[in-house]
Amino acid sequence: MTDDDLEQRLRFHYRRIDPGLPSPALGTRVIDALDGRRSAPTLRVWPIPGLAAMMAAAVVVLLGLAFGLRPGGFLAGLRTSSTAPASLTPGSAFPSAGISTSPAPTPLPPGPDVQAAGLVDPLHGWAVVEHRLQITADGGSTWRDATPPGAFATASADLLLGVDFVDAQHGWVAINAGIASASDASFGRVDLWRTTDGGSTWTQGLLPLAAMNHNGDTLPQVQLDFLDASHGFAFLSGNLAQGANDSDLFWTADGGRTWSADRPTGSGHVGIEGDIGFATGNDGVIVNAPHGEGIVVTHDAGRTWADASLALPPGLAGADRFFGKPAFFNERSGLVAVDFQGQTGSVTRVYRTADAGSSWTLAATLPVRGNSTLAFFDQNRWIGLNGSELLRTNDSGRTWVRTAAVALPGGQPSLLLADEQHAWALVAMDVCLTFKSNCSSRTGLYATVDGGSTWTQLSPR
Amino acid sequence: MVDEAAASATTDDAMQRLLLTRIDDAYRLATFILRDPLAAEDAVQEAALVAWDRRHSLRDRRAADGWFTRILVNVCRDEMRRRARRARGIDLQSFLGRGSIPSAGDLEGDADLGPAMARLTPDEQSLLALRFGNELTVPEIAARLRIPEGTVKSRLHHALQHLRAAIDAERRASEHMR
Repeated sequence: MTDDDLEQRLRFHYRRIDPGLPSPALGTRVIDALDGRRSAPTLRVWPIPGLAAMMAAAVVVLLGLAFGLRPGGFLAGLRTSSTAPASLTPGSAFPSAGISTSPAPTPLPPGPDVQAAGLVDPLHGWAVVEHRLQITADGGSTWRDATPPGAFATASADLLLGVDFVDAQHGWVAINAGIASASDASFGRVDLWRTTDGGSTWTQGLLPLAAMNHNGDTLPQVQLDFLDASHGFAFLSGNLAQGANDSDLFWTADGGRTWSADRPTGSGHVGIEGDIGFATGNDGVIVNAPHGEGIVVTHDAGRTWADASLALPPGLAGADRFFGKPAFFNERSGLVAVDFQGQTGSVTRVYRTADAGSSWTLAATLPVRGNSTLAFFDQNRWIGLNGSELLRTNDSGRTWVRTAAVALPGGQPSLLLADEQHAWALVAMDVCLTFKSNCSSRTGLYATVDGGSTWTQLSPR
Repeated sequence: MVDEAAASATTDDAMQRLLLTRIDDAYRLATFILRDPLAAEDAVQEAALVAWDRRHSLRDRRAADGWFTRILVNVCRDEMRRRARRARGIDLQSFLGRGSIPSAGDLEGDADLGPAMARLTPDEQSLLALRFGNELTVPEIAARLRIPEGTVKSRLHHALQHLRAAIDAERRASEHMR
């Protein structure tokens, strides 16, 4: 077969599958989606919790964020729950589900759209609302604007790429400053502002240029993962550069004053994308990676990466897997929650490592199905949310207590833990009042001071 | 302040119109890449939202075609990776080439093309879709993806080589099944 023959076959192939014009409904869908964005401007920022060193065990698990929720799936009434642990259906890899009905779609509750948030301790936390960084020192009752000077100065022009605080004083904000043209100095540049006084004053710094100098229009979010006030990583997952693809890792040992040269995780064709989690300055993983079982590990501070092993139970080898952020409790031991999306629903399992992320074995299975959020106080005490239901275990998932999370709206939550009583939940809510149209979305911030039994909405602005 | 808000609204209106005028072409390209009209619709909507969130990075509206194409290709690539992850460990062979609409591979004598295409990387499939589906020239692809023409030629060459090898592999697999 000559090149011409092959090219002709390809042209014929595409002519055969040419769909022609889309249905008019697609235009309506896009208009509705854009209108939803316009009414509630949203920066696509992953919630990155600020973690105090003493609370390094606390971890936020974001599961199923890639999935849209169905009409009516939100704002479902609070469910009554049994305190008895649920059991797995014999012969099934997925837990059984109770009979449920979806109420008619309801408009989203009022409140600010929170793009990102982090809880440092029971009193101190931060949130990003309408391009402004807000900080609280009283558990969310009052807030002050701690936006770095110069950054977000023109809210419509700057891109917030990431935020992290390791304690009430030390924090970092990654921003791509607004540009007037592709020749601007800030085109594709990441400014990393740092504070050592809780956001009262900020110092501007820069990330070095990526190995492949990227284009601003595809600049990814910056995942900031600080181990303490001095040591941390900045990770740009899926940094597209002139048609090639890379993911770039930078390391600082002086609180962000200086950064290492780029340690790209890819060769320029396909970088190792995903979400980072480091146990030490050398040992860490990228989860949700398009490699192996979805998790890769480094033991040399990101210079080289290898596929980690993940023990898959029968029947789940082919299921979609979505990892939460891994939690490390010391230099070797850690946990990660994995949501398996199968033909009959999804189930969340917890995996444990004892070798700094090289191998992961099954530790427990959540007794509920559907997208769940899980966070770890330590190796044995975990707390989770499944819709408006609270799950808690004190024995590494052998037994669970299930109660209602009162006043927490349904949706896709992520948990931010301060201690066993104080937590925040970012709840991503999205509803289409009619099928795939008249849609709106918003992320609300909720707080609990009683271990998750009751929740109140916060208004960080 | 009021003037700024008004200017912003006007700019946003223009951006919304800009995106809406590209839906048809985007849907066609997404279908070529994903080979699934429903998945293509989802990809177009997702790409529009990504573009909206990144709208301030587009300063030259004349570059909008390439800008939006790159975003759409990224969205499609992510979707293909999700599919690949789902396929891994199950019946990969039956997954490859599966689509919701008939492919040329379904035609008699051409049964190996669809599955063979699915063996290519998402980037290779996107490039072939731009070149032979959307019938863009090499310079046009280079402009849209913002890469040198020589790079486009080189990648097309490699993609065709890989496709040829994949077709051979499909034929061997088919003969082995008999």
